[in-house]
Amino acid sequence: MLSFFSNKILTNATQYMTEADIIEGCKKGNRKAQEALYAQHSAKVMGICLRYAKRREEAEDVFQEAFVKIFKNLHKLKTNQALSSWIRRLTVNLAIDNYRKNKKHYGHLTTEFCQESGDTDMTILQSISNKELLEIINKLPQGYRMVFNLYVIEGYNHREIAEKMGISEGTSKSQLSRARKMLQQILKGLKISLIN
Amino acid sequence: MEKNYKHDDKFDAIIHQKMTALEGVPAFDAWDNITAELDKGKTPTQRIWWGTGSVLLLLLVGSVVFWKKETTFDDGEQNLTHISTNETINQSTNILLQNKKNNVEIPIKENTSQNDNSASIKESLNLDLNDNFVKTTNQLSNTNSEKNAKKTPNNAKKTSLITIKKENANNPIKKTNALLDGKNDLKEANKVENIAIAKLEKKEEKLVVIKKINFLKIGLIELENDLQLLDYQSFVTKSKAKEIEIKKATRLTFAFTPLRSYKQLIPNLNDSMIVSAFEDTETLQTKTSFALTLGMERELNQRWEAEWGLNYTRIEQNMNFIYSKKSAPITVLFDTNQNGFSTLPVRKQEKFAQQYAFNYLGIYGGASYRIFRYAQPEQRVGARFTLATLVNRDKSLNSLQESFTAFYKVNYQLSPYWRFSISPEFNYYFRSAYKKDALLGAKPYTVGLQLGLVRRFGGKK
Repeated sequence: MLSFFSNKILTNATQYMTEADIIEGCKKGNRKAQEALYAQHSAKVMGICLRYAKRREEAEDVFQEAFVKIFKNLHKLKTNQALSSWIRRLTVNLAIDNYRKNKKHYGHLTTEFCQESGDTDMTILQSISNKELLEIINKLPQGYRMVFNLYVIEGYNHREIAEKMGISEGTSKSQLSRARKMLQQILKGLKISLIN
Repeated sequence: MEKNYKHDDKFDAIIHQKMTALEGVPAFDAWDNITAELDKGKTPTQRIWWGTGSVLLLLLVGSVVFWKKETTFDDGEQNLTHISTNETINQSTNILLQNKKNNVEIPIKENTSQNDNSASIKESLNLDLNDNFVKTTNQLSNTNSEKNAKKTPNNAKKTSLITIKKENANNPIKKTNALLDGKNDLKEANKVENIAIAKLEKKEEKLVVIKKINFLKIGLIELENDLQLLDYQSFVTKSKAKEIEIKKATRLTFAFTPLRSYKQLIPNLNDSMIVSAFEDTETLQTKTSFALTLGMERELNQRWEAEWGLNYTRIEQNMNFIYSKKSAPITVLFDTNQNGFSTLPVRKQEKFAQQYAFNYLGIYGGASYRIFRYAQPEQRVGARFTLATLVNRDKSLNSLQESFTAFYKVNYQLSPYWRFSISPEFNYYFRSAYKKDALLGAKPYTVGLQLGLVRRFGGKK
C-alpha cells in the first residue's frame, strides 16, 4: 500500500510542471524542478545503470554521477532534442566510461560457455520477467555484456561500439555473437529446469 | 544462416523490448547524495565575476605601474638619446610596424654629448593613460615626427644616417660590410640597433596593452551592469517562486477522529472517598467518542506547517464504580449463634453509575514539522492546543476545557489538489470535567486516530 501511494506521489509531483518548466527550472538550479526531473527519470536511469554495472553498488555510483552530470550539463540540451533520449545517451556514455575505468578488475571469459547452442525457444524468453532477464544478462562477462547492451538495446552499430569501447569492429562482432550464444544457452538450461 | 539471422533478429527484438522497459529502484539516500554533490560544486555566480574583475583590475594597475617605469631613462641610455626611432627619422607616415619590417636606421654616433632629443623621446613614450581612447600609432608617430622635425635640422648636422635592411641586420657579415661601408663602429651600431628595436617592440606592446586595458575597462563596466541585472532577475524569480509556493500551500482540511478515553488512570478523586472497584468503566457499549475538525493548513517553509480551525469533540463517559466514604462509621455485627463476639468492620458502600457524554466545541491552533525533507509519503510530528466550551452545560461540570494534542501525521498525496492523512494522536485535558466541589473529578485523556482529507486551493497546478 505504501509503495502504491509512493508511486502516486512521485507521479503527482511531476504533474505540477510541464517538461519545459522542469528543464527551465533545472537550468536555473531550482530544487523543485530538479526533484521533478529526478522523480520522472530516476527509475529508467537506474534501469540503464543496472544493465551496465557489474554490481549493485557500482550501478548506484554511476546513477548518482549521471544525475549530477545531467543537472550540470542541462544547458547543453538543444531545443529540438528529447530530454529522455538525451538523458539515456548521457547515462550510457557514463556507464561506458565507468567500464573502461574498471576494466582491469573484471574477470575473463571461460571458453566452455561459448559452445554452439540451438535456437532459443522464444516462448521462454517472452515468459520471463524483465528483472529475470536482467539477471541472466548480468551473468555474461562484462565485455560481452557491454557490447550486447550497446548493440541490441541502445542500437549502436559495430563501428560506433568499437569507437566507444576502444576495441576493433571484429572484436565487437565476435563478442556480440558469443554473448547471444551464451544467453541462448542459459535460456535453454532454464527451460529444461522449468520442464523438470 | 538465413534462419539464424531471422532468429537473432527476433531474439534481439524481444530482449530490446524487455530491457528498454526495465526500471530500477535507486538507493533511498541517492537524492540526498546528488543534492549534496550539486551544492558542493556550486559557487555563487557573483563570486566568480568579482574574482575575474579583481584579477583584471590588478592587471590594469600593474600595467600602469609598469608603463610609468618604462618611461624613465637611466644614465646608461643617455648616450643613446640622440638615436631617433624610425618614425622620427623616416619622414613618411607609415606606422611603426611597417617601418620595422623594412629598415633599421642607425645614426652615426659623432657626438656623445647629451642633447635635447631625450625630452622628445620621453614625451613620445609618456602616454596619457587617463585617456579613454588610445592614440593611434599614426597619431603618435605624427606627433613625435612633428616634434623632432623641428630638432632635426640641428641634429642633422651632427648625425648622418646609414640605412641597412633588417634582414641584413641578422646576418653578421652583411651587417659588418654595411656598417663598414657606412664607416661606423660595428659594436656601437649593433648596440644602437638592438636598443632601437627593443624600444620599438616595447612601444608596440605598450600600445597593444593600453588598447586591451581600455577594452577591459569597458568590459568591467558592462560586467557590473550585467551583474546587477542578474541580481535583480534572481531576486524577482525567487520572490515570485516563493509567492507561488506559499500561495499554493493554503489548504482546507476536514478530519474525523475516533477516540478512546482513559480517565481512571489519572484519577482526581475526592480525598474522602475510597474506590473499591471499577466496573465496566472502559466499556463504551455502542457509543464511541470522536472528534470532528474543520480547519486550514498552510506551509510556512519546506519543513514547517501551521494549522488552525474549529473542533467538535464528543467524549462518551461510562462510569460505574463502587465507592465508600473514608469517614463512614464502622458497623459492628454480632453473631448470636456463636458463644462470643465477632466484629466485622464494614464500610457502607455505594455504587456510582453514570453514563454521560461531554460535548465540546472549540477552536484549535498548532504546528507540525516535516521529519524527512524528501521522503514520500510526507511524515510530520506536531502539536496543537484546543480551547473548547461545553455544549451541554451542567452546574457540576466545568464549562471551559483546554487540551493539548501531540500527533504524528502521515500525508498521502492523492492528486495535485487532494491529500489524505492518517495521524495517531494523544490528547491531554488540563482540567477535570467536573467542578471541584463535585462528587468526583477526573481529568480524562484520550488517544485517537485522525483520518483527514485536505484540499489545496490556489497556486500553480
